[in-house]
Amino acid sequence: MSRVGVFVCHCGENIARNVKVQEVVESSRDIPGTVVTADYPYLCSAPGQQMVIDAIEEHDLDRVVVAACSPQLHEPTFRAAAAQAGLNPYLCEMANIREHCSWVHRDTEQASAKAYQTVVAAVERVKRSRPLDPIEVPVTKRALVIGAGVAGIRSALDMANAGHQVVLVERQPSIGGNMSRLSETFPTLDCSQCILTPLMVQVSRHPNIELMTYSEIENVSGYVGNFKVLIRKKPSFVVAEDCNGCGDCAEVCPEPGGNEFDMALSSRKAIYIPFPQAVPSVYTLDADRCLNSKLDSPTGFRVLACVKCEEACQPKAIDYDMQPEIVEREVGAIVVATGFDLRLGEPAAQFGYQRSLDVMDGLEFERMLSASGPTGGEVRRPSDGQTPKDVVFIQCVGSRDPEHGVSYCSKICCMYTAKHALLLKHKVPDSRAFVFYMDIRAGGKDYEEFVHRAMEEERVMYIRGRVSQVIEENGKLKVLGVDTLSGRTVEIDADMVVLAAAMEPADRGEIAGKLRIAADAHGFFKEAHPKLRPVETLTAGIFLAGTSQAPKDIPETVSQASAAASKGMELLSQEFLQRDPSTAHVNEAACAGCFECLAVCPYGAIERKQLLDAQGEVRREVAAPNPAMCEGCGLCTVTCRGGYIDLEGYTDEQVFAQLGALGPVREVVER
Amino acid sequence: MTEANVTAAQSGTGSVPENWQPHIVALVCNWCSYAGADMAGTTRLEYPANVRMVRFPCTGRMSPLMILRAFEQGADGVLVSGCHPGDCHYVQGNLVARRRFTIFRSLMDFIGIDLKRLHFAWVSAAEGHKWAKVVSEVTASVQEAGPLPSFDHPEGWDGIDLPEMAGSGPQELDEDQLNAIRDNLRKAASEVLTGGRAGSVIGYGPGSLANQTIPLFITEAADCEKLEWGQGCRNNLSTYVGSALDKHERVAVVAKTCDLGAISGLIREGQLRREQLVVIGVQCPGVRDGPGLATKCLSCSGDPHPICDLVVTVDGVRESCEDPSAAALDTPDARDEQIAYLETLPHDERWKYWQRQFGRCLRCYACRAACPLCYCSTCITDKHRPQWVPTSIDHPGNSTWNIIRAVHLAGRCSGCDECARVCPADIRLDLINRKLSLEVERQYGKIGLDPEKKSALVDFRMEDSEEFIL
Amino acid sequence: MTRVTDSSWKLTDAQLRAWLSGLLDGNSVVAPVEEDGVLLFRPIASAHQAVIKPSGKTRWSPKEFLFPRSEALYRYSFKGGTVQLEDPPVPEKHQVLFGVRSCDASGLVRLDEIFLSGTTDRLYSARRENTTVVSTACAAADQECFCTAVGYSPVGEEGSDVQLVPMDEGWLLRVLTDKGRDLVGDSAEGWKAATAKDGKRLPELEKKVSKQIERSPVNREWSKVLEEGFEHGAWDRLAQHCLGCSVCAYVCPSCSCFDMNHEANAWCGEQCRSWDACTFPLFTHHASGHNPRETKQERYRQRVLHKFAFREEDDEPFRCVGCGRCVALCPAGLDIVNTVAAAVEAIREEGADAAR
Repeated sequence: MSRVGVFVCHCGENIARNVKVQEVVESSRDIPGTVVTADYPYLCSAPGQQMVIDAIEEHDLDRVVVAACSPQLHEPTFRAAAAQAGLNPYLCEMANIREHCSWVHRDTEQASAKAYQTVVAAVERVKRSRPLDPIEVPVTKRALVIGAGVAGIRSALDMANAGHQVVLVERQPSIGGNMSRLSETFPTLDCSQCILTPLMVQVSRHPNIELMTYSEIENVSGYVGNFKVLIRKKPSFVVAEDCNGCGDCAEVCPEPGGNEFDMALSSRKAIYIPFPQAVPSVYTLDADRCLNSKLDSPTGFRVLACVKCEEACQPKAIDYDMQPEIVEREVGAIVVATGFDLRLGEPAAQFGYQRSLDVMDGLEFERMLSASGPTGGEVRRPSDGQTPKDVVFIQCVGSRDPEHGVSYCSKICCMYTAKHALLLKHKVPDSRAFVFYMDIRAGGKDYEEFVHRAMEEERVMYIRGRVSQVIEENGKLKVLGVDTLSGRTVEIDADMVVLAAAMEPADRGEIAGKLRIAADAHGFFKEAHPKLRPVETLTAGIFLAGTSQAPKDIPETVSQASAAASKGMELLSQEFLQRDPSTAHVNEAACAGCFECLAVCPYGAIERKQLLDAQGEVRREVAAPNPAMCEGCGLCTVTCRGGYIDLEGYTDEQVFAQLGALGPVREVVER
Repeated sequence: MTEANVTAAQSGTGSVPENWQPHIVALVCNWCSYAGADMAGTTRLEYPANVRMVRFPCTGRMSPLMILRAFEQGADGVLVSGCHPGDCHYVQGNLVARRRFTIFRSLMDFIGIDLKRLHFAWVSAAEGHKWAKVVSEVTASVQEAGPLPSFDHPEGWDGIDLPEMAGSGPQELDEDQLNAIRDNLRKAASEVLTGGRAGSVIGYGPGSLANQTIPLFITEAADCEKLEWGQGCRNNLSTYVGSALDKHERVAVVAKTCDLGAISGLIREGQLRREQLVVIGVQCPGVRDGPGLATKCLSCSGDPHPICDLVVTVDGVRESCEDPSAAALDTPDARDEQIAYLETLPHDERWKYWQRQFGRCLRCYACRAACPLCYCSTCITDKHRPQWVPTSIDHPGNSTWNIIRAVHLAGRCSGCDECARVCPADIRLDLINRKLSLEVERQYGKIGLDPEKKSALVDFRMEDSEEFIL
Repeated sequence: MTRVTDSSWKLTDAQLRAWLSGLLDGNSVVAPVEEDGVLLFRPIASAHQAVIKPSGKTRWSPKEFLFPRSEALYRYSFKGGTVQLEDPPVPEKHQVLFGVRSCDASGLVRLDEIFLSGTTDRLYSARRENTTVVSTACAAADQECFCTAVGYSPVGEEGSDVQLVPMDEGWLLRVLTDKGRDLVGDSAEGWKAATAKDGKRLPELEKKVSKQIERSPVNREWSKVLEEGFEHGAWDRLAQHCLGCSVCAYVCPSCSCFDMNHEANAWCGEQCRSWDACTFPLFTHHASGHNPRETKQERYRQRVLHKFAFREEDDEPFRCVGCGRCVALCPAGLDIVNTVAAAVEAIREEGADAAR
């Protein structure tokens, strides 16, 4: 039988004015299990707390009820006092007789009756409390960063610089992401590669960063502090340590094709390096383009049709027999930075994107503007190589278009369109640039001024209105639009059209599925709270950075990357994580394996556990909540029809007993 | 110390004592409503003292069983309060709970609990004023409703005449036709066994009373001659599939149209896999219940279900298997009229109707035993710690049992009516389960037969309805 | 209870109703009523509520009026820091069970053998003392009846204090015990005395109803066979379709098992006993987790043997009184007599030790 102590606070006059404290104290003596009762003017004061501590020790109490203010205020106070007396803090309960009672009810009889009943309920509850200890989860001191665009690079560097081990995985042969494709960045017109490459080199040289390019995440299991990641290293058929980047192989390679880095505006060979500043600076043999992979041999040997690159390679770095390799890494924290692609669906097609070579998207135009691009930085029409004189830029292609595109704003297009127009005017001074816009969103630092520069200094013509059609006619692109400010239709015979296409997350659900993190309807990863927790996910230990979470520009991306890194470091700087012990527990013997609990858990905290028989055969699967991931909401407990899941700290027995104490007081069971 | 309140259990008739005060229990979530109540206190707002609070981490932790216990313990009203949708500290606790509350509330209404007693509210941590207002309104509302009606046999009450149920049922099959189907069935079953398609066939064999069949478990092809087919084939054989699969890798089951909804549910809930079954659908003449057809047959065509492996008709046996995601059974139901009629009655009439029915309940649990979707290893009613469903076989405990079983079946019940058929007390369980099926469908749409789709009560949408929530 | 068979009268329907009406004064009368299409025993407030017919059983037996579905064993409350115990309330009025079929009356005697022998169950005993049984003999069998096949009779007298026998017109009323005589009291004035010819009605009905019951008799010797064949494999297949509910046990006139539980809250509570059934999986579940009747086939076997075997003396009656309700109401269509016959046949043919 428990030994409960009930302590009732006067809180000066706050409680005592409306609640007859002495009566409550006296009546509490009769509650089964109560061995000591007392009252005090201010229990939260030092002497008040001491009284509780002394009583615990003197009367050998194993449960405590403090009837006072709201637990939201002082539960930690009294729990700490209990702990000081050697009592597990979770065996101390508060009964709220101030905020919920004396402060809101003037009738003393009613307030006192309610206060007493509240105390009884608290005693019944605490008698069924169990001593709990915070759950300690060990932390593997290594982080995984998925994606090595500027977000992934920044995150990895921050954590590595702080002394933590980082595994950085990138699926392309080179790191750098979309930012390495850009010519110049707004609003400073910094050369993108120039500011990015030093960071890329730092990554490649950093002793704490293990860089795996041309690699993908195969599987992630585990939970915060204890993730197990399987990474598939795709075979590049070039031994990285031996390759010196000389390029002899590419010269002799007979298979050209589109260069993805240049948005297919230029070509590359089957064996290639994506761009001159690629990190790592090694060649990759694309198995899909190489002649050798096109041969099927009935005997199972791969008959080599072409060995030109192997012959040309002086350091003997080519290895046609390279196999994909799966490596395993254990990490404590994961940062997801998988970036974006441009979405070129129906809205782009409407403007002739597929039909005409001279209609291109923003990234294609970036490559054209870029000095290392397909045209050496000169603006030329892809169709005939001529320098365009009239270029039309169309904003919001697919963005802000719930019917044909996406409902959201892609945030950066207004800025990069202004930049594109500006750079066009720099490169082709006698050209004319027309921008069709709905709004101009230039909220960042110096952004508004940048747009004005384009408008006023460079005389870029901004037309507020939409484009209805782009028709190819006699080698020109007839752009039909409207100017809503003048109310007139506009017709421009353009040489080139650039579409500011919508941004969409590069991940199509694969990473989301592997990590079991949520994504919104558009595929952007879901943050834990849009305002207060923008870089965390609801899966403990997994953080977000960059455009995979939402459209954003480079300063925001870098900020978010550092924020994610700091969250990661918060984890990695601890030996053990302390998690709230109010978690769910399953009776495995009874679980029927319907897994509806798994379906409702907001945190993916319920795992499928296989129960084996004596021979090691799988008998059945049962639900197993992971205490490290469980946040204690209790959704699973109600979903489980048989009642096999209970929630520590708010157990069925506790609730049952409280409900049994809070009905009208009866002297006998009514039948 | 005793309460100043005096609560009297009255049966709806009879007078309420003059200074009667309602007793209300509130279930509140910690992060929003409890804090909102704290805010009301800090602001020194005044509101009636009739409410007793129980604190929870989330509305997602609040079960209908808890609300029922509050009423059993004598509360006249219950208030459930949590965070606004979108603000749940645990992301979606209140969104899942919202669906649970919607369905539970509609059932309480149906069985005659005046909804003036049962309230739900979203009160945020900042809404101290709203908390005070809600408590005041709820107290006034429960005051108006009066003391909780007693859980009792309504004395001297003549009962209700429910409207006749209409419908002609499946096309009639004469004896020759039934024999033809039976012979085709025997052949099909025999081939399933000899062909190794399944290790056992579950079908209907002759019973000992007229028009009665019993489940048969056949493992030898020769025994297929014992299979029967006719209006006595009442059992839902999918109840036996689980235990049969303990002994055989694949099992064949003879199924009427109404038996197969349960199989979708069992697959959806991981209790069996489609590949483990060979479903033998049979053209059905309807099943007999007393002098006439069973209610569920009145609106049914008797045609075999779309999801079968074999289809047995008068003409023969053919292979058939449809994609469950494409299949749907949009049958109107004869019981809907009776449900609609009950819903026109005032609450105290409904309460009497259902108390009289629940009063007969013996807690034999035949309903549970016959239901294919009641597969829990131990039922919630057998849970002793705590004893959510009172063990005593009387009105409050019986009401809780029947309510909670209906709630557990909401959105899952396939309408096979086995529960109503097997009930020795003729309790209209079919009406209760059908009522909740309709409610789930009305609110959240049909799930249909696709086992890949989530069942309504483990799912949620931001835009789920909540007109009743304060 | 001395049997007195020389106090018999012939009553018209109206006289019977009038007598019943008179009984309501000072007694709590329980009789069959129709409720939502179900014939059930209920306390009646007026004579016209009762359905008294020459044949036809209620949905379940009236045993709940001696052995309630649930009753408090004792009650307690926490007052003044102590536990205050109190006995459950005793019924105030004398109880008359009116219209109890012969099989059900026999069922009551089977219950008496359990509750009143050895340690007397004081709650049952008090109710039994306080109850007088007016039984009705049967003029026809229900589809599921088989009382004559198990050694009982549609005109049986055991368990009854006053027997009503349906005549072609009206009823023969026979006082069987002192209690019955007290119940009849002065009401007999105005009733016509019965003749010997009237008494012939009894064997007539017995013969007629026996013919209707198309079942082979269950031999008393079979009890031993069943016991010897306890481990026989036949039990596995005979009960394969049992669903593990307790319809059979709860509608049965002679089943008597119960469970005890506390129902309490912070203020008060009671120790309450409620019907339970050996067919439930948890019935023999031990606190250790072991269950000696793990499978439903074992549980079903137990029930059958309890009804048809486990008799101390050969001349003891079967505990099954042949009302047939379990056969009519079993969700899975199990037939206890067929099961017994099939088990006995299998045990005899294959030997008691034939493997499962």
